[in-house]
Amino acid sequence: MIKNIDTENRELILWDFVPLSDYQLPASPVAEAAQKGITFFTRLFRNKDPKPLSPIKSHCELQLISGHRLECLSPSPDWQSASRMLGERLSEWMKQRHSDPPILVLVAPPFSGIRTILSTLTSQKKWKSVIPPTPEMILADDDTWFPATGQSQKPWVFPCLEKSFLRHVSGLSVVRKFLYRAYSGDLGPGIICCDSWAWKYLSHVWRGYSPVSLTLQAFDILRLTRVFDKQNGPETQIPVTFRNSNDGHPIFEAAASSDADKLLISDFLQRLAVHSRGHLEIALTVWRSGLSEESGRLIEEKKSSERDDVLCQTIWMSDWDQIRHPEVPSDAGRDEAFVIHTLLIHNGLPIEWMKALVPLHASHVLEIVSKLQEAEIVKVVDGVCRILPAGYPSARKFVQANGLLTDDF
Amino acid sequence: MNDPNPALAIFHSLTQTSLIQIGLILALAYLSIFISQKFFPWLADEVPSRFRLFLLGLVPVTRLVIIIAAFVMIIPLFLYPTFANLVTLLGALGIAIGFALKDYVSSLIAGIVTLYERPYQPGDWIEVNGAYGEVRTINMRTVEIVTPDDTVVQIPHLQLWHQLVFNSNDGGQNLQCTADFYLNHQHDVATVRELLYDTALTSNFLQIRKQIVVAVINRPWGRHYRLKAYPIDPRHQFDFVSDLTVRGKSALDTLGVDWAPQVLFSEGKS
Repeated sequence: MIKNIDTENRELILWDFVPLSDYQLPASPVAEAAQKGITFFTRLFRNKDPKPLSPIKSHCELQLISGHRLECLSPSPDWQSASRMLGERLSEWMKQRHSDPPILVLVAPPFSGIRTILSTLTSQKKWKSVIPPTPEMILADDDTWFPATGQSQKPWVFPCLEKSFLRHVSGLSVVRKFLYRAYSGDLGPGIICCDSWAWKYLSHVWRGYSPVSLTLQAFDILRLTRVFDKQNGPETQIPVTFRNSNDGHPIFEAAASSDADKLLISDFLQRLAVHSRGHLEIALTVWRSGLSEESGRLIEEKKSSERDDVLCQTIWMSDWDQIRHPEVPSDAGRDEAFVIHTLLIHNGLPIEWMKALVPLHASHVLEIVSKLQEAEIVKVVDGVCRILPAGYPSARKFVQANGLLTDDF
Repeated sequence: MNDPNPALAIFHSLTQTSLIQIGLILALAYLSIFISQKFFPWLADEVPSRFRLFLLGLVPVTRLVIIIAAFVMIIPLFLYPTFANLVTLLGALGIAIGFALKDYVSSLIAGIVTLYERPYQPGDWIEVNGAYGEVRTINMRTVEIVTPDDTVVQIPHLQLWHQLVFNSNDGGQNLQCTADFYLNHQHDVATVRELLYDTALTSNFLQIRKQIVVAVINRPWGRHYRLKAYPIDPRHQFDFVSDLTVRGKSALDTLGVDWAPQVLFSEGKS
């Protein structure tokens, strides 16, 4: 289904850093909500995955895109531009922070890109980045990693507050000390970045005053369109049209009418925005996983109407229902929920520490990790287990259904 | 008078067809009750846990509705359903049952009372007469609970009239658990309280939005700490208490706190 979106009178800020209360999840369309309910009930009564729908463009005609070609067609977000926007927002804060504690918190939902943006900005501004403590230092209540107090007007940056605590009896003391000293101004001006899951948990650990907190506004349908619309960008020689491989309709395009403020956007992007909860890196992962092109030759076609002379390349996007979205196994229960939740609030953990923090036998933890790896919900790299972007939406729903604490994003 | 026995005049003469109809209605009612008793508990385990208690609560209500519907369908098949006839029949049944099956009927009536007073519902953790467990099914005459030792106990609803019924979660997800710690006097109370508070706060089983309380009671032999918190799901209560106990003890050992002497605390245990 194609929708006509009116963008008139709406100044779209792609990288919009807003107070937490202004964060808006992409709206779920009614059809999407109804489909979720139906999917839930059909999942209850079936054992096997449904047969995939057969697309207009068959699998033999299309080949998935990968490597350099994928990077050209769907490049990484423009982090430089994002860091400029963050820099401007932080400059405003630094000018206004006379009465407040000199701390600003950036709350980073998983795969939102905030950490990359902050890291880019920190390098550009040559701010001092605080190295997080090791788990051993946390348990020993070691505070030698705290930023040194000084008269410098340059703020220090702590990019991962979630790495300063462990969900362990002895793992909360040091983060309480750190927050107390930072909020009291004892450590000088600073910027703290914290994962949204850890931030939610820490709101129960630290009940004192909280400073100004910002986050990146969700990537809704319009922002996603802006990110994926590379056809007019300078990077590609030939403009690209993304089309649904099932029905041939474009995923998005400017309206053919003279009204330049209108965009034709397919249902796909709305579903992508809702599915990813507005987190850019998740949306990008799903987007890339659905791209394919006709094998063997470069397809070029003429665009209609006013741009008859412009050649355009067609890239096919799998239908939403044909894209594989990793799901937490249907036989998963409480123990799996504990493992996933522990990973989320610590933003990934070494396997050795998971065994210590999850109240299960060590071997059972390993079994669960292995099962979740198989389901592509988590990945273990160098002994550190993390949730994967494509698996995050399912992991979040699963944790929520089990009654565990979830973030606000 | 043509009819030699006027009492029988209120009944139809039962034909074979009527008997088959009655049989079919009873079979259908039985089957419907059987399916609802299997389906709702199964569904309750599949859906998010917040819907579980609601779905379990539908079992006895559905059964009552089916029984009433079957009753309403059967009565006209063998009785002329006038007001006078119904009063006569129910009156006669009442006298007979009142003498012969007083306790049985009292339990049945109490079973109906439980459906609207709701002293317990499926999924609740109750204690009646020393038996503690999760309400699995509310039958017409009894409530069936499963104890932590996986023993099924049938408690007649009749108990409702004259026994205290302790309901730990009262139809909700909030069931307070307590872990006890017995220490001697030589320690810093504030440090121990903070440590026990963090023990609960770091438990994976904790329902974090609910309050955590560390109560301290001075005893002649030492101090009795009661760590009170709520698990995410009432079914996790024993795992939760075990988790609090094991991790709390380990943390107190690390702190170097001495435990109360065993002989004394068994005397002073509250």
